[in-house]
Amino acid sequence: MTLPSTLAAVAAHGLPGSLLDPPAEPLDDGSWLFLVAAVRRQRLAGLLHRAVLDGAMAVTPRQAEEAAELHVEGLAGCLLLERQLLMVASLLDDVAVEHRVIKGTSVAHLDYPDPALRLFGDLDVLVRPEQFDLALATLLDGGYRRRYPEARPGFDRRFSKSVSLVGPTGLELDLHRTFAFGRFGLSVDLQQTWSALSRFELAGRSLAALGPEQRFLNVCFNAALGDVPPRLVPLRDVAQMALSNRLDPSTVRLMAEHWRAGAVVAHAVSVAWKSFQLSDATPLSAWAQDYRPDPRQERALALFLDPRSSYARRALATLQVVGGVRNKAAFIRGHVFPGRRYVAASRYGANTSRWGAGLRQLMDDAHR
Amino acid sequence: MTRDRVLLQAGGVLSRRSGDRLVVLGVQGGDVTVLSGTAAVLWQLLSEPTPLGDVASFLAEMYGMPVDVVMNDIGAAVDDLERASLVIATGATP
Repeated sequence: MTLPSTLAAVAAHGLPGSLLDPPAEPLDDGSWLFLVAAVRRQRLAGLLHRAVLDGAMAVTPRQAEEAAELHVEGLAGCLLLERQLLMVASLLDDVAVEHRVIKGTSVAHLDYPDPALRLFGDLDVLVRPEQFDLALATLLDGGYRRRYPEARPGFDRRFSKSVSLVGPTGLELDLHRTFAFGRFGLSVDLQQTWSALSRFELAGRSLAALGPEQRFLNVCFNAALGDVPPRLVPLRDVAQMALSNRLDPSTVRLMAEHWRAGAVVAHAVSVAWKSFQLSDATPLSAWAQDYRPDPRQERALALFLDPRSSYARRALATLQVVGGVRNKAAFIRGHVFPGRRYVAASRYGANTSRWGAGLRQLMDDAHR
Repeated sequence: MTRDRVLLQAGGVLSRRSGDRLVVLGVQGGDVTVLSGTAAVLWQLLSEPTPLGDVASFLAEMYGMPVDVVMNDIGAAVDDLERASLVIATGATP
């Protein structure tokens, strides 16, 4: 059994209908070391430990102890992040900024039978676009700092998916405006995103998350438009939710089409089903299997799936859905003529070389 | 430490279970604490205000040991949990 297939079997542990099985014999020392490193990188320690405890994965006593230690280490990180999340929620509540916890933290508490199964390495909070500047200023006043400067004043509030922040203790927080970079992020109906709500508790305090269908679309975006190849945890989130019977499939389909993201959702579900060899069909998996995206969505998705696709090419595709001449101009300015602080923090040495390189790349991509 | 001393999990504590261990963290501050064995069971038994004597009786039955022996054993665990601000006393004091 190869490392990738062992890792996929670990990630699939507990999914009904998965045809993947972890190894029937304990791995040799070398293979175990590689597996542990991969499990740590992919934040799968919760599922590995569960597979060991359930007897689904054969391990030696020493390996069982290591799996347990790896899990405790991961959980400690999650609790430290959750403590920070409570502080962030208080900061935003104090200035009446409405927010939703998205991605790992909310999915762990709302969609897994035990939040200890789903580890996460950062925090993600969504705020309304009209409150984005206030939220960001509040967090900066509260001791957070940006990882990267803004391309131009106002760019993040209008066009960015999120701003990456580092907290006073070094933990990461992504403040989101929408679900994805580029055309898929801009076509998300943000009013619909905020129209439903779920709640979960941390240390006796109630926190708000997205409604179930919105949350499912968010995990699909994360799985389909994130890393290439996709990480196993986001794919597990997709399968976990799709198999839960807690979603309304027709609401998911209608929302995905309305957001012009049917291709994204269908792709995420299809890849999850294939990655975990899920034999059970659900209304969503059947829909995904038969889905035929329109050519524009297919081309836009292809840009995200191609590891050679440049940021400039994706930006060019985004330009097509930015509405209005002034907005298009602002979008281009942000990419081709970024501010000095952005340039100083980037790999380009001088403003002229940055705009020259950016413009060249955009023109090259337009002619491909 | 008296049997009628009433203890309760402190509010504002984040926790996760890992096998027979509990990973806990106070929201107000402090480090992550990993509870195992008796301490983990003890903390979970204190989800509601519970006299220490009741806890000792439960553990004595669970482990098949005399209650007095268990009372002695859990004293140190209770001290550790109180020092880490994970439990509070709500009733009669020693």
